[in-house]
Amino acid sequence: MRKQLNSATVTASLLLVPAILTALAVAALEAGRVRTPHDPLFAAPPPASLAQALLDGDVEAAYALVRGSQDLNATLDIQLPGAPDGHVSRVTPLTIAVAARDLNDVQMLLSAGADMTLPENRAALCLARARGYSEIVTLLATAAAGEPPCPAPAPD
Amino acid sequence: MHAAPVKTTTAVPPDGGSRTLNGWLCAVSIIAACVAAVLASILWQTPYPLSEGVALLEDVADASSFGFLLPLRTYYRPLYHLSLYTAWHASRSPEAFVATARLMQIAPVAILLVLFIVRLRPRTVVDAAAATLGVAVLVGSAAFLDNLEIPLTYTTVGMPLLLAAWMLTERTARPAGAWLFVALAVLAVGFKEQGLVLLPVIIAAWWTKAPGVSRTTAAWMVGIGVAYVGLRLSQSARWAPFEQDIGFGFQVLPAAEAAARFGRFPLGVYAYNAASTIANVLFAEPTAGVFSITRAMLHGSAVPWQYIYLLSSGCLTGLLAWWGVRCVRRAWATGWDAESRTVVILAVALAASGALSFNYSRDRLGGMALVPYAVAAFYAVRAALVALSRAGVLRAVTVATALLLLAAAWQTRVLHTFDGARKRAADNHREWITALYQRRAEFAGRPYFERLLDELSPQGSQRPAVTPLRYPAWVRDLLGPS
Repeated sequence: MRKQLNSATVTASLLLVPAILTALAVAALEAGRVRTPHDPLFAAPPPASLAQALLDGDVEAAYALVRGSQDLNATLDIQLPGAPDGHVSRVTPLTIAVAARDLNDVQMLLSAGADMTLPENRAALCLARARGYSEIVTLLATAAAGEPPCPAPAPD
Repeated sequence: MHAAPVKTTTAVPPDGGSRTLNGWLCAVSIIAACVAAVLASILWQTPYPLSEGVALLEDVADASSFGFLLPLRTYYRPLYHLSLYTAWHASRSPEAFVATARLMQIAPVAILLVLFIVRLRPRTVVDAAAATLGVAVLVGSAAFLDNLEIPLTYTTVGMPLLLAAWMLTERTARPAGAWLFVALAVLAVGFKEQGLVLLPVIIAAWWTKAPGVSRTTAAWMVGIGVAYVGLRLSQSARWAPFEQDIGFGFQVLPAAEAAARFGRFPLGVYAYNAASTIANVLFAEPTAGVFSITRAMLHGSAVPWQYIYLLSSGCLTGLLAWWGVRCVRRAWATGWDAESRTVVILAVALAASGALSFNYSRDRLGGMALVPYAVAAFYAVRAALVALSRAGVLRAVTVATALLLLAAAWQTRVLHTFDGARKRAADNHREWITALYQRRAEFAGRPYFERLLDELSPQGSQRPAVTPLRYPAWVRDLLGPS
């Protein structure tokens, strides 16, 4: 009888272990998040710049920078994805988002107030059209209240 | 006179035995409290969502309009809308409203866990082990996670109401009056039609001679069910055959396509949807009517968490089947008790949940059946542990190992529930910062909607402190999608 009771008791005791470990784990993780919110387990390292955040597709980090002091209509010097090595362009964050083909970033920038009346931002629409990003084209064309004429591509 | 057959399970009266606090009850309560506290913390930091949340508020934003009390739409949730109306108009600020909306989701979850522990009332280490696995089944199931969506508290309110009503049916001290069951049923149904599951559960309890429910109560449940279904069906001529996209086999069919293909005779697809919801509770597959795990396996792209989900649910359901057969045999021989009644109540709850999801299947629609499923898991595991004590060494080791793996699998699903809740918080924030522009354009000219966007966007635009944990890839493969 003692032997019979022990096998059930031992197994039951072992079955408690995963539950206890899970409870401890979730509590420890939550406590860790509160104490060290910037630990790599809880948060990605902050991007070096708004351009980097947009290229990485980190829309939350990009938004945080835009909400801070970053002017989302100001141009930035950057090598765009798909551009030849060493070729640096002076473009707005909206153009960077289009070049990265990130619909979330484009939507975020429009929501945050990207000004489609600026020629630099209208260039983003032209870029999207040239690269065939139809969803982004539709979005930007609506924001621009139409599709402005785009300059012919420069000869190679 | 025949000797009473030996009970093969440790049948404990549902509210009998000692009422004093015992160590095992405390231990299980502490474990559940950890889980509940962290879950509450995540929900407390979840932004109020843009997509469905603002649309729901628009329904109640006009203080002079109570149109939501009329059953004019395909969905009818008068008490839910009334609670939202009260929360919105009584709150002094959008922040206060968001805090109230969060509490409206946290409170039912906390009450559910408390009632669950009280229902199981573990007294021994065997009970405690089974109870912790029962909690894991409750929290780790897809139906639970899918219902943890602020402000969609419909089924989250219904689940503790069902459990409370079920516990009342097991009262051996003076049975509760019919009015209390009626009140619980009206509350559950008033929040969402999934609450109708409560009615056949109470009727089934009465049919299996539960001590706390009378024939009068059962009659009231029948009356409420007939009246409500009649009221709703009187409006059904205006319903579309399919309200939302449906999963069918390995694909998703848009509602319009489903109507074109099956609109003339939708009963077959209705039956498929019902069976999908039931199967999702029992086997974690299909999800929303789509056999996504099976499809991944056929394509050779299944990841470990999919195997964990399928095996943990399948093995537990198999264990329940073993336990259920024993219980029913015992019940035929010696009469029904709380444990054997659970078999019937589980079957009834599954069938009712399935029937109510005839139009489309989603994980959340299995929420009401999840409660008896988790209680049954407690009983089944406890029975397995007791049976273990009479097994030979080899069998005992095998069964013990299987139970340990089962427990570990369900605990990983609990971890996924937490990560799923964190992901939802991050998704809500992301939606506010990306979709706000389009929403303004789409709903321009709707003054209440525009005003709600203005008032709620600050809380949604603030990055939540909770985000999905950045696990290594192998951990993500074990826990599930995030």
